[in-house]
Amino acid sequence: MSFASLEFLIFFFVVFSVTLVLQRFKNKIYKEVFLLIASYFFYGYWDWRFMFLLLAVTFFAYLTALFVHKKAALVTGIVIPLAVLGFFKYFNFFLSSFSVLVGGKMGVLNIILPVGISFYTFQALSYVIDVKRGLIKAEKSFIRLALYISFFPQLVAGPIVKASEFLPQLDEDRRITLKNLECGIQLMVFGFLKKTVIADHLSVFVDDVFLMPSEFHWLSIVLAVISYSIQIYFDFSGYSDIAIGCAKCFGYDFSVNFNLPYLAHNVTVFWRRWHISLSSWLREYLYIPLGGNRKGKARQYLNLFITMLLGGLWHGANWTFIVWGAMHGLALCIDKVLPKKLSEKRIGRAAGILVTFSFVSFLWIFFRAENFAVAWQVIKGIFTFQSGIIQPFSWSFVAIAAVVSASAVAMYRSKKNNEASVNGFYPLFDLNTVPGLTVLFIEIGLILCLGFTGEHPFVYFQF
Amino acid sequence: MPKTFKWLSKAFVSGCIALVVLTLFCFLYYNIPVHSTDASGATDYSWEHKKFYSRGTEGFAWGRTNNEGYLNPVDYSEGMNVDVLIMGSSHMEAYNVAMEDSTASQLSSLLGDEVVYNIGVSGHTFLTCSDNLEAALEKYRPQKYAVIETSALLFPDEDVRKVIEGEAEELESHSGGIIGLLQKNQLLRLLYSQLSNWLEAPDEGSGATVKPEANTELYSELLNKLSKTASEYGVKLIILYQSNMYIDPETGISFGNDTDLRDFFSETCREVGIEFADMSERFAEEYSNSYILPHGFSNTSVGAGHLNKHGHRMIAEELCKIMRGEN
Repeated sequence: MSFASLEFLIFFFVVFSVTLVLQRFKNKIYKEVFLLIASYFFYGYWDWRFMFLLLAVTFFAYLTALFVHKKAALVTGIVIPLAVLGFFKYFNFFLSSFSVLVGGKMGVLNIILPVGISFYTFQALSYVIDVKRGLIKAEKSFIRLALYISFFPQLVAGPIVKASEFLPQLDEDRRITLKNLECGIQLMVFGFLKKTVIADHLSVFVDDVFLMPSEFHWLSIVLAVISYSIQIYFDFSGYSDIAIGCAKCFGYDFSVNFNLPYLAHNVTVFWRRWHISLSSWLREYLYIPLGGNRKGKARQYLNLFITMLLGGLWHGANWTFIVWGAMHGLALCIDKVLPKKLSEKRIGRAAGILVTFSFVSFLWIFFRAENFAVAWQVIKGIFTFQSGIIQPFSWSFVAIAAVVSASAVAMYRSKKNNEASVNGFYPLFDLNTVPGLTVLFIEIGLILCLGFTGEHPFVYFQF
Repeated sequence: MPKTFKWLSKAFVSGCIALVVLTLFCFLYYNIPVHSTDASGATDYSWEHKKFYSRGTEGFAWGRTNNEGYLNPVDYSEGMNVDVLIMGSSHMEAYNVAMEDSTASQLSSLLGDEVVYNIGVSGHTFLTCSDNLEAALEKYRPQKYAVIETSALLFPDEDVRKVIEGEAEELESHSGGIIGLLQKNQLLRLLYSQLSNWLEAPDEGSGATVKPEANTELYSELLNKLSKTASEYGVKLIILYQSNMYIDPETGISFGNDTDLRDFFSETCREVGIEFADMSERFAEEYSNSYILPHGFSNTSVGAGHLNKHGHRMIAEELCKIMRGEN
């Protein structure tokens, strides 16, 4: 079930209404059981068979965490979910890559990739590891653990919520209140606006160019690459806003997933601002266990590279994602070597933002292209100043204007508040006032009037 | 209770303000007049007369309908001398390009002194225009040419038969009653259009549609009838065929209808004295030489949708060649 669908709106309304009634009971178990059933329904609506996979991953995490003090339990608690992920997501990829390598012809298995498997596997892993690290206690209630892993707002495309963040909230008296609703609804509406009005319209042009890059003028290709950078940002941050807002409506808090990533003046800062829940997950559960920066410079660079390489592979079973991750890894290593003084001056910082955006946008080519041939055509088209169709796509300019103006407002705001770095913010209004309600209604009206009406699922659903 | 009532009052006021703001936005972004039935029968309907219109969903254009409700740079007056009458669908209506970029305007500039009058209206297919041809010729009495534009050459037998027998049903204008009234609100109209598009979004697996078989005998009969009607009014009929062009880097350029059908139309038209202007070659040539596409806009998928200003220019140039006997 996609957030941007009528089914979801009905589902949300029903779940919200029932939860509102159930939270009147002193015993929280009724609400938790209901939210769990609703989350499984949400997941099973796509393909009911994979509810059992989700249940198995959860049960396995539950069991291994109870015995995590035993090394065998910890190892199996990590290896088995990864093996499940590996089978569903990477088996065919490695098989076909191997057959190309040995020059043979091996068939592939007909495996359907379960939606959200990368996300809930990582959540299950983080739970087992956090218990081992003593950050949280092993959850005695299977219901609560299952709710943490399957809670519908974050189930299929994140943000990746850490167990130490969410499970304690279940102990607290989190409930639907007017205050939570006021914030949650505005976040959701803002997310829908980003997704349906900007990201989906941009997808029309980006899809055209990546479908036949050899037919477009190099300037159009450059515009399409920039458009994709904005599309994926608005798509995924819009999705995250909807997820965060949706959870907020029920009284739960998820951390911010994006913080003006395109204002980053180097790649290290970019990864602190982009898909924050994934980058912090990779840092805590992969980079630091690998040794982080504790084992010398050379090892730190290697750790960074491996982390980003695997981060790339996490996104999808395709060599393009591996190259994308590897190049980000290399960039992070180079960034560590470069003198920091460069970005201290205003001009240096501005140049850094421009260079980082250009570099990140360039790498998005690999992320978006279906294969290397397409990526190569796109790159070749740009650097050979190819002639072709000139398409000054108007939504691209609207999107660029939106990014620039939102960044300018955030910069002004951070300066005014004397903040050390520029931070994004949500324009949340008091819905008890006429101006606040008017803005909300206009936002809803714009979604209905300008929203893209074709089919375009969230980009991160495929992961 | 008083608190709830107070909040509801605020919500009501906010809703009204938002409605005004969005309606103002729609005035510029999506402002489409209402159709009204054309009593003369030259078209099944036209737009409201002398109305401002704008459209930002596909291209961006605005203007004013003429005194008959057509998107024409000139008003029509009884007995006015018309040299070339253009009939057709939304492509000829040209609501997504500036009025001076439409086929009619460009053709008029190319021809110089000759008067070109455009009665293209959205929803008017080749069959609708064929059915209306006699009434249109009767009313406008073009001196030289009548042009019927079409983007399709394949029609259901039943519909063709009805046109031949003069029993085709008229398109409804929906200008009366509550529907007509609701259409006056541009915000509602845009929301309706969005909802229709959303409901029409293709589902997986439902893309296959059954195409009718080409009944060439019936088509010949229809073309004969059209030719006869044109002769009775002493005018040369041109059937302008412009199809969407599809680009595939692997297989090259292709068009909506197969070559055999285009050849059949070309041949039959020649036999019965109708000029068949097939734009396919010109479209392909312009794309090959300069990557210019006849359809699509800066806010739509590349090459998809209605004719853009380049498409109108190409058509005007080709029509001009035909009219000057340069073809």
